[in-house]
Amino acid sequence: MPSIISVRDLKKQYNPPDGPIAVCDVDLEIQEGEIYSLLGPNGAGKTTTISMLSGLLTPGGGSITIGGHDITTEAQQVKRLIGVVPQEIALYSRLSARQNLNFFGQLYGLSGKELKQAVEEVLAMIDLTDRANEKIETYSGGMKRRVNIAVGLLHKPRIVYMDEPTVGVDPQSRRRILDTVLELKKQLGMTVLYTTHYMEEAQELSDRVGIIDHGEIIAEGSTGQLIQTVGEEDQIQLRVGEQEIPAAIISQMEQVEGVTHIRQQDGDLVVRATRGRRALPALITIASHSDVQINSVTVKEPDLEDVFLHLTGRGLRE
Amino acid sequence: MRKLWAIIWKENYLRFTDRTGAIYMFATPILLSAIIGLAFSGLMGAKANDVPALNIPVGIVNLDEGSAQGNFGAIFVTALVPADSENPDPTNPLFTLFNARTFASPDEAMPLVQEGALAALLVIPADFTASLSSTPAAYMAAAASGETPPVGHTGLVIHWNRQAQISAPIFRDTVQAIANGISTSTIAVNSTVSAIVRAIPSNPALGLQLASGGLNDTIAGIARAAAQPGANPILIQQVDVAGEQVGFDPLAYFSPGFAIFFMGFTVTVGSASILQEHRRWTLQRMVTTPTTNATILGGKMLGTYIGGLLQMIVLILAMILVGRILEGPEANIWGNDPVAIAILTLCAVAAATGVGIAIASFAKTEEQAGNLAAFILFTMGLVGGVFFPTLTMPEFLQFLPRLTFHFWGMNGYTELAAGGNVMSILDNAAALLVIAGIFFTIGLVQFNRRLDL
Repeated sequence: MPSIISVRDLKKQYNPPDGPIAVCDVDLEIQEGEIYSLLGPNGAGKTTTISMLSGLLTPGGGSITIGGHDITTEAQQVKRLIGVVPQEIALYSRLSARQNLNFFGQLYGLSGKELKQAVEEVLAMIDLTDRANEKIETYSGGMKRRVNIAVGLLHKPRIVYMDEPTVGVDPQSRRRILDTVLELKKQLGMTVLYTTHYMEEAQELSDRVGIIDHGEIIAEGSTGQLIQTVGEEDQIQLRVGEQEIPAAIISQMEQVEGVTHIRQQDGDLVVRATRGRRALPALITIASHSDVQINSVTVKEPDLEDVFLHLTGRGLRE
Repeated sequence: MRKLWAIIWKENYLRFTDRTGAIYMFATPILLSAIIGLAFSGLMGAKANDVPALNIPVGIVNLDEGSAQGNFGAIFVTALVPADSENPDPTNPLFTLFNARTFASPDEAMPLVQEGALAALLVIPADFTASLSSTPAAYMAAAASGETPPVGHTGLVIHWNRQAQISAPIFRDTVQAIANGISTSTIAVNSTVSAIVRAIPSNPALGLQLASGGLNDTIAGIARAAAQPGANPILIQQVDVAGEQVGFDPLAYFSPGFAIFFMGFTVTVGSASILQEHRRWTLQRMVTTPTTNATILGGKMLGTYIGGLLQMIVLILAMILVGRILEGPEANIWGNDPVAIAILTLCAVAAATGVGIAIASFAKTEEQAGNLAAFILFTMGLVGGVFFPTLTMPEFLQFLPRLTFHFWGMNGYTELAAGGNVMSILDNAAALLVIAGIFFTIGLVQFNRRLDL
């Protein structure tokens, strides 16, 4: 099955030849109906990549084919297929939500009943029908974000680009946005290219994740596949405070099935184990028999943050 | 096309629903014009009700019958009344300063002075040239007796409307300057003829030529070439005429000035909104829709243009109302030719929009565009005559106003206020279109370079 988004050797350098390289030899193959996340820290090249895929920026090199159309020679055909949700609230604050949707709907080529119906549908989807006639400037940050998303969905595009759509929103609005993204795939079969620096979002939403850093895709695959690259060890943290743990006890713990490594760090015993939850009762028994007082226990399964840390030596938010 | 109109609608909806913007666009120019109109019309206690400006309406009655040396009265007519009244030479400052017409008799013109339709009327007497010319016989008699050859004396009469306290004296001074030139010529001619007469005893043929008029062409040539200052034998008599206020009024001068000035700001701010849209990402969002860059830019430019046009229409209508309140129900400070007003307004807004786009295209931020606009438009307004008539500028700077759309717009509206029609504003409209073309091109080229967002 051919990819709906196909990117080869994509490059972008700002102010060449001395300016910073924002994107370097990026390859992407995204299938129709897939949610693909670009995960990376701020400044990794996510927005630049999406800007080139939207026709906003001219690529410095490489090729972009969307739905079989080349973005540089058939930009208008490509733009009919895509809906873009930028990171910024790209709305007219002195217009109401309905006026904003009507305006951008017309730019997407909608008119008459079709436009009216599309506007009502997206307003219902973001649950703002009741306040549709109020000016955007009176909305909360979360409501603005929802209208920002609605504009990109008006013309029922086959592909939606969402550039960090949850930045700066409250947890409730964030949850609503994530649910909307999942609905786009399930109910409308849309392809979603989603950028974020929140690994939980990428992990929850994505069929596949591309980890991007310094303009390069450094790893790609499903969440499970990526985690496998760092091994499937869980991390158990036993909070022991200032107690000195004798070497004999640590040695005894290392004998528990699945445990591969133990170290004492910042008041914690940090245990790495292949099946952390199974090893946990044995570790607690050893501690209680040795009069080691455990204040709390945390079991952390490996995630994309660990993958990023493993690949780059840095955290996603550093 | 639907997309283009969507952008135009959005532009103007945002512009005209902005209360602060409305104050700058409408309230300020109307208020300023009304205050100046009130101040100069005497309703607020000020005495002056006439200011020097363009197109001072004046009349000339040339009764001069001339002599063998020509018709000196015709010199005034040639200097003040353009040969082609529909297309006066714009480089001749007297044609810009005065809107002069000739009349067959004082009886025909005097009522217009009394009504205020004319600021002043120049009456040239029938014996004007004859009084300044001496016959060859008189020269010969004077030469024979060793006396100075005779120089004639004559008079000009200027009837002026008392209300025209500033513009009528400008006319008088101008007439005086022309009269000085004629006096100089007369003296030069007298000296020449005197020398010829003194040479007759040694060359009798000269006497015959002079007596038969054979030297008239030579003498007329000397008169034209003479340019040395000399005694003035022409007495200019000024006669006051009580009457209505003159046809030119400050409201008719300042209203178009302020309207154009503030419209210039509106369209520049409108053009600079592209920078605001870029910052807020609404421009980028438009670019990601299946809408061509040409449609987006065209919609924004056309939206700005239509906004400026709407502002001018509202200001014109509002100031007609203000004019009628201040000057009576018949007053029409924009003239009586709606087609000409429409043509001039379309051209003036096009020129202002072009300049606005060029200014915005060179700015990187809205703030920068605002500062540039304030500096450039205020300077252009100052030089272009919005705040004071450009004729008060030194002669070597007189070309500067012609570089501004304010000058050509105001010039055109003043022409129309003085009774002009479409033909009389064609040069102004053409100049405005040239300005529009130049600056639109600069702006679009510059914006196009920056379209990689």
